[in-house]
Amino acid sequence: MESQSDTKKSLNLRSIGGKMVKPLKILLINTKSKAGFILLVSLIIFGILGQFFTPYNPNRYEFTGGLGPSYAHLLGTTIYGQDVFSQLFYGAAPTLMVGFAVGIIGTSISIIVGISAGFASERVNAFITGLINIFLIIPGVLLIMLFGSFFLGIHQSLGYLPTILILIITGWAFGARTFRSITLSIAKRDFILSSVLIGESRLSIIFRQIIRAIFPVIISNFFFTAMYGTMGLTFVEYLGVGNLLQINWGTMLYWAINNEAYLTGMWWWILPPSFMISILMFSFILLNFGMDEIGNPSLRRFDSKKSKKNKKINDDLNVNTEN
Amino acid sequence: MSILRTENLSKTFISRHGLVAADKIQALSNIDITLENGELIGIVGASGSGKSTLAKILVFLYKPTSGNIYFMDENITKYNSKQIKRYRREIQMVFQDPYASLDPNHSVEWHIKRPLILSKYKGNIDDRINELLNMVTLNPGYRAKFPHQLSGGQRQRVYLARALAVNPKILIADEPVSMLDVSVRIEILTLLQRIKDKLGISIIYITHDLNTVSMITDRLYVMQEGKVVEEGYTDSIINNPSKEYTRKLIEAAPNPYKRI
Amino acid sequence: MMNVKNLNAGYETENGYVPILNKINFSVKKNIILGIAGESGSGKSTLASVLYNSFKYPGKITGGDILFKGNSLFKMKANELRQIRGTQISFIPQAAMNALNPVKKIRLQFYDVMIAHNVHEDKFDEKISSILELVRLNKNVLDSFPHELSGGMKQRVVIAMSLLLSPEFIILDEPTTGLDVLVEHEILADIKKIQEKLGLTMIFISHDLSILFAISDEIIMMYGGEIVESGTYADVLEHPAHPYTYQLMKSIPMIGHKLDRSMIIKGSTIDFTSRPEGCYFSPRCNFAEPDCTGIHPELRAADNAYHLQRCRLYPSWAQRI
Repeated sequence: MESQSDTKKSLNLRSIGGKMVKPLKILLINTKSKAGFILLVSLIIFGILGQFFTPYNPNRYEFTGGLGPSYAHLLGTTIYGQDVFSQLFYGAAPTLMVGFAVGIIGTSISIIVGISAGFASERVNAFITGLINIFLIIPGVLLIMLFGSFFLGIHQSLGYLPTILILIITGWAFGARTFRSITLSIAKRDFILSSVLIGESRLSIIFRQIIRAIFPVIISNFFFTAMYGTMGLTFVEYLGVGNLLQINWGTMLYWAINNEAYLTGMWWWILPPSFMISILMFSFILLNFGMDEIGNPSLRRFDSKKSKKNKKINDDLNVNTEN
Repeated sequence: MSILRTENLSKTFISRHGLVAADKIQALSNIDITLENGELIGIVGASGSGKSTLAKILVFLYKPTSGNIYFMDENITKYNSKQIKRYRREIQMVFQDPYASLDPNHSVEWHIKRPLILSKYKGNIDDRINELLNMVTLNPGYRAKFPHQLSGGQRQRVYLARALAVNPKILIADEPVSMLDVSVRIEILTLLQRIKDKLGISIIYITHDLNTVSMITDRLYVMQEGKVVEEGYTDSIINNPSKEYTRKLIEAAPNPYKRI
Repeated sequence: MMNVKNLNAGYETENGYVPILNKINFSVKKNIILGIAGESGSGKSTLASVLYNSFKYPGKITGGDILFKGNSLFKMKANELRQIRGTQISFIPQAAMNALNPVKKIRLQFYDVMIAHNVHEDKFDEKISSILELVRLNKNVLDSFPHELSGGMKQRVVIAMSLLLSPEFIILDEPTTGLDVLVEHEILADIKKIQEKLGLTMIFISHDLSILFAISDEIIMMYGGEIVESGTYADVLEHPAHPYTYQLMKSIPMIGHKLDRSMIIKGSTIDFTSRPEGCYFSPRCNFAEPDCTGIHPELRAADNAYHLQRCRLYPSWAQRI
């Protein structure tokens, strides 16, 4: 009996897309997304702790410049005499926050625009598709540089809020396009037609059925957009158009590179922020890939034998127990 | 008084290539069909005969190009969207593929509960769900199951329960058994007959298979290339087809005792 | 022509191995159509892919052998196998007509098959035109894309493709699902004609008993991953020796029959992860006795040595009809 219910559970997992799994649980099904999830959670904890427990004040220039790693300064000091580890620790939270903010808000906009385009009349669909395409070709980083230079010109600098805003404006369109095409194909399926026939409203169909059907894609898109957000922030700061007094991994890189840390052998200044950014990107990518595999069965390794084979397994392992 | 009647119903599909060029496909031309109250009629035709288009027009998933549809002698062709919504309470459709017609993310219970809520069912919804499951010969234990845990026949029965929950007067079944195993077909056919007998629902059974249609219908319409070519009582058409096309369909109906 | 010996196969799942096929034994004689009947969940699709040796992970073969003209398919090297597939055995999988390359014209798809098997270029057109005639397709088809063809035509293209390399042995898995009765009837008649004309041997797998009995010379009935009855079509059709065959035959919708609840087979097909004790069919059988859930019955001869069945109550159940 035990083993039977286990098998059923495994079959459920296989036909995810099929059965809805609780949002957090969905992240732990796939090995890739599990690894990514663990990495990301560690980084978040790192970021939260960093707001309270830095060994030294990350803003103060109180030590000898250019010290190598030691027990007192785990990652040495900058040329200006700041503690690198404290900066790394403290700078994690803003870096993560920008990524998440862009991910959450950007994905929400994608969902609203994409799904309403996919489910609307032909004319509205055409209009929104045009809009999406326009936003799709706006080069985000260039736009930021433009704004940033403008602000620099008037002796201001881009704070976090304007940066996030610009990244959202330039980052939502990709997801919207994905959602639009998926919604278009789902809206034609029999189970949606059936809901139309029993008298469900459009809104009800969108919230009760379409969003649930594309849930893995939403999650996957969230991580993709969050990655875009983090990367965007890094670029902005690295190029020096942001507020350079703020401490995050992007500004750390800017100062390290501006002071030619790679030439003077101060690896402890340049490597740690690069490494942390890579780890963060890596966790986003793992989560994104993992979600893709769940949402798109043909990518899954267990079922990599094309959907026909899956159907065969389901045929033969037909789990049904008539009284 | 007939419950559903079509008059000169036609449908032309236009497929555009670019701005000017367009192909016109005449899917239905001048269809006259009558469904009496409490009757189970069949519409038979090979693929391309327009029978599925007709089904979709009758439930307002397509609009007819010309002609009229009368529901209980009321012309419903020019209904606005509010009226269509009300009319849909009276007529439901059963789809061909039970693997596509149930939402994989929702349980059996949800599928039956939604139409009950939407049609503002007065009594106890829980009891009604059990009653409907009972009607389609599934026990209440199936309420918590998800579509992927059910066989094709069970899914089709759940779908029937969902359609019945709306409390319709007419059921349109478009090839409801063609995707199912042979031995399961009889179950669904018996169920259709029971729905007609016990609930007094009028049924239009659409298929290409004369074997199944001959076993449950009273009257038949044979369609070919968008036209009704033969109509009459099922027995007399089967025993004495007047058109070559009908004869071919009878001839081709699979029969284990007839060697190919 | 082909011998299947004690074949066992199943699928790896996250909770261990689930056996599907259970000691399948049969042989296919030359120049016949062998029909394999089974509903969904009978293991027939698994059997089809094992027969063509295209059974891959998570599928796993745990025992037995398949001999083709005396040579084991399992022990063959990859290139030998590739040589045999196509040139001697060909396989038309389920829904093959939807698997045609949508962006290539039919002619090129035909060429691809022949190039892959080193057919000389001069022979291409000659070969293609002779085969098109065989499957009754117009030459215009060659310059069409798959989406421009009807379902019936696509199925004919698929059959033509499987005949390109003049195989002697063809495995067809549900070749007519999704087609309407008129087209199905024509295609079946053509398959039979081609089989007789070219002296081919075929395995025809389907859930539709009606067409299977209409076209096959010999029949194998499958239930729960094993053979429950086998014999010539006439023997099985006229004297079904296993209750499953009998009940299934009775449940076939047919013109002139009256709808009757007694036609329904109770219960539903078995769950491979928890097979019933004893006879797999016993929970659904109208003739079952308490003892049927005890020992698992073996295949044994019915009214003649070539007509095998797996019911321990035979012939007594049959006398009760």
